[in-house]
Amino acid sequence: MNKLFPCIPEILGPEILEPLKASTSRWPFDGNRTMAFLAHQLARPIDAPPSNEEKRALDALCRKIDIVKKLMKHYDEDWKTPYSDDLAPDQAWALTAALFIHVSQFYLNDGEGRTGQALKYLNTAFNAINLVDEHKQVLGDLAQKRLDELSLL
Amino acid sequence: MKVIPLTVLVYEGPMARAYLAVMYEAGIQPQRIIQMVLDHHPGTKKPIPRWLPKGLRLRLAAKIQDMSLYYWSRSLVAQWPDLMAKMAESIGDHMDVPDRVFDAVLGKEPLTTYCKDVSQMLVSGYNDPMLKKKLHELGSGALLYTGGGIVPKDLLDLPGLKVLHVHPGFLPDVKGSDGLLWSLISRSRLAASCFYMEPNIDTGQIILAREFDAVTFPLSAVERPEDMTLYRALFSLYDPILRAKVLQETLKLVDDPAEFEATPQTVTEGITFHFMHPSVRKAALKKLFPMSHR
Repeated sequence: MNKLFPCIPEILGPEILEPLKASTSRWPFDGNRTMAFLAHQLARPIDAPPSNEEKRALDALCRKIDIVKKLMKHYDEDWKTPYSDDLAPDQAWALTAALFIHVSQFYLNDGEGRTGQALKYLNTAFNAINLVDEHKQVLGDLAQKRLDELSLL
Repeated sequence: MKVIPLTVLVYEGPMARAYLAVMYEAGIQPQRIIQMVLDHHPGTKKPIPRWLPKGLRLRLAAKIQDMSLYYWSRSLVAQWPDLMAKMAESIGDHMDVPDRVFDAVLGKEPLTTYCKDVSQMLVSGYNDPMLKKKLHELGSGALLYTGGGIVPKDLLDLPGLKVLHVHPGFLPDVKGSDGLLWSLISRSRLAASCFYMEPNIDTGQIILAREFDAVTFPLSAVERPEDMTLYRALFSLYDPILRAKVLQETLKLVDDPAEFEATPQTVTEGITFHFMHPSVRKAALKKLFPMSHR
């Protein structure tokens, strides 16, 4: 497991982390920058529940991945309108896939029985994996393993 | 037949027909039916030629729409007759729906079977000013939405108009797309909810929400078509019948469908789901179509 970003499986390799390390802004203090949010989420403790603000951001990202199928670099405060035409780096798809696989596990184990939330995030992970160039197989296997756990409930 | 003050805005397809047929079986007739006929092909968006005489253009548009919107349900009955018959029989037994309703969802009956006052409108969609004008002229009352896209806010805001919709999920918990499958996989039950439409998706005031045990359709490896076929079969049969049964139950509550007691939702309640990825859909379909080892 990666010490800096515990949600990222080590198997993905160091190159996937480069854009995260290069992200100098901090979420949410510099606005809704996609890579900063991913860095923030992927670095936080694995068993910590997302705050309401984080949950809103996660749901907004779900929409970007599932429906819009485009991740921009920087969004307004509601995650609705991008500030520019700049796309997030390509690695963002693999990182969001890893994040949503991870977050789905949190909802699976939260004791509240929120299987629906876990499945929604896992669904988004699968959609992100469709848009990944590299590590498709590794991420796909991880997502499928999590789905098998969930759909047996 | 009891005529109720309800206008059904028919967008042809199994859902509209299931509503009408189940109402008919319950001895209920809507006051009027307005059939929305698109002035373009529903799939390709290719326009119906404007140079055609008005009556011919309407008839051609209605025919194209009929062939397009019933394509999957009729193809499934033709290509997978055993599967469709098996599903209809099980759903019918479980939900107390007679065989003729399953025939009716294929859209072969004239709309005048269900109501004396039937009119057709050639429109570009819900944003068409002629449709807005027509609904405005109807004055206050209830309108049943039967599909065909997003209803714009200015139409929902028409004074006195209450637009009824039945969503295939348990509101307020399950909102959004693929409600039938998300309900099944996240709550292990199927559901439908009748509510008054508001501009955001599935957020209107809830009139009635019902959950049902899921009927399953065991299939052997030989009988089993690909997942996409099973998915289309669900949305051609099970989904429309489920919604229609909840509509039927709702319409029994009061005489005027514009006067239901309804409960507002709060924005943060529930989960808004998006279309299911094929991998997740496979897991959901396995629950409804388990492997039979005979």
